[in-house]
Amino acid sequence: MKQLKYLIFAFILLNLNGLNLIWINLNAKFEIEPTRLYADDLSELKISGYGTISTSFDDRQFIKPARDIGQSSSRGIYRTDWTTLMDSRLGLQAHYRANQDLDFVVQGVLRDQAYVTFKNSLESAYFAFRPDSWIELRGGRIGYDAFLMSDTRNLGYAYSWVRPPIEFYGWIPIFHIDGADTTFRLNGEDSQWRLRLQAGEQGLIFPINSVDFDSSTTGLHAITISRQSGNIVLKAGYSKFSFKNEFELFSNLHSGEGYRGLEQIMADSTLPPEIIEEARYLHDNVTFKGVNVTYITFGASYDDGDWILQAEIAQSTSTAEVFSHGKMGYAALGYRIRDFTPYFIYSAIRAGNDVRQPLADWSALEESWLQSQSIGIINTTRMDQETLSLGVRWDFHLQAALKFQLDNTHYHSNGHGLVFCSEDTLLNDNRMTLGTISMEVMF
Amino acid sequence: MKISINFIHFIILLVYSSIYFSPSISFAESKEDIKEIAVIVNLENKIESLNSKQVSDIFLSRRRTFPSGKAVMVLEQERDGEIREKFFSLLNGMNLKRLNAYWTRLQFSGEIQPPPVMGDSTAMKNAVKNNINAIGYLPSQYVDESVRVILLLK
Repeated sequence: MKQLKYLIFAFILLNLNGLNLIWINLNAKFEIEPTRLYADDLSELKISGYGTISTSFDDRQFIKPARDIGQSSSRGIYRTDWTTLMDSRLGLQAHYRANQDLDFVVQGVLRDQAYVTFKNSLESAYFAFRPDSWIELRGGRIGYDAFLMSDTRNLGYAYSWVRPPIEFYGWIPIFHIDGADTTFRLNGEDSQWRLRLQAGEQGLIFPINSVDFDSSTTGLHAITISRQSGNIVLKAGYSKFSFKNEFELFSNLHSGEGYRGLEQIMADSTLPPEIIEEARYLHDNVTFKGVNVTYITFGASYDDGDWILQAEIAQSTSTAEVFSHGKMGYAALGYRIRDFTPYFIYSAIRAGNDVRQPLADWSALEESWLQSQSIGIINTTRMDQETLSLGVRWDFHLQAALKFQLDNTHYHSNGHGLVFCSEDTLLNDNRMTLGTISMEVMF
Repeated sequence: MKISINFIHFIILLVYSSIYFSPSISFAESKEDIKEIAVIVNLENKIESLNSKQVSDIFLSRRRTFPSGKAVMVLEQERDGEIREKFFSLLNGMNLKRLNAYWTRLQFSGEIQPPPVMGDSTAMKNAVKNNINAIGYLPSQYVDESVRVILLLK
């Protein structure tokens, strides 16, 4: 057991990449325990949290994996050999129970993002009020609840694998909602039903080709219905939102910046109609502002203590081709053997739009590059890949677990929207093997 | 406000050293004291009995009312304690590690916050005695006429 502790600490120290940590008092102890009540007053303040330290290795020089599209491409995540940034994170939560019907919760999560700010790191800050046992109202910053795991993506200790399947969760740009939701609960004979309605806005800044995009939404809403019966959970969801802002690079393509943009070409009646038509198509499909995005999802999970099964399928649509959309799904199977849970996952995403090809001959135009660049952008954001993952979780402690996972991903040509890579690379089929070891804690 | 990712590693290291070098199980009553676990409710609660599945659904927060439709207030024993381990083992076969993972998901997703944790079985009994909607559990030797037993697990 002593050697095991040394091994674990060697792993932790490996993760202290670049940290000027000279001295650590391993004997220092501090207690973060839930308040234990001895009185009849059941109000309490509780501090709790969770965390992951993780190291990933990959075998490709020009493809850099990311856990989600909000991560940074300019820091260590862009390394070509190994990274500690992709899956490491720390969450802290304060919960005040005012009484049986009213809770206040604040949760912050430190994780790799393009910009780690207080606003981005505030995962939730809400009140929850239950006027009756069948209804709950929440207001403030709340988790986005459209998918089976969309509000638990950061909680590595809660699931068996290293990360939610990237094909299914890596591209969803919404982590939380600033708004409100209402949850209705109904008990059946042997089942419990839950209907949740969410509405609000969200704003996440993430880089596209090293240029920031403020993905603030408008009209964001989600409706989910779930049924739990013993070990089986079924959940269906529908969500819709629009983007409020235009991406700077797209604005330049539209209106021109010292050159004629797509809008000027569309308005030039001297040009051949096929060029005008293609310019209009590219203008309408290389834009984020006002684009409507919808998700329809269905998920199921089963856990009887031995077997763990989970699967989800979804379809997303977008009114502009440039916003990644398509059909996606995964299936995961695990089996507990004492404290060990070996598992495998197969996940895939197929783009909802075909690879865009030039339709008209723009070679006579001085701005012919507008055509190739616009088409290139549409093809850059397509996501067409599948991953087979094998791994094992070891619950070596009541509040900590170690995980090891190997992922083999096949990226189809013009389907590299979920990884950072060069434009040359995405034109070809590629494969990458990614190995990850991580330790999860909860406290 | 830029925050280094290494700060995350540093904090997790401190948390990890805290939990790993701390005793993982502490409990007020010793293991040999626990032969039976009684699930108890307030005397004014009209429920006479519940089966294991109904109680399991309530303590896993899947069901938030009694079968009568009245709201239920769940009270818990110490998270990593022997009583809780024994209770869930007898009730639905879940061990503490699986329970901790289960509650991590509910707690940090905002689905529901964990129930109030009682300091010991005497506090549990008193809290159930004083709250009409409460449900709790304790070793059967702590039961007296101030609460009603609706399920006995052995």
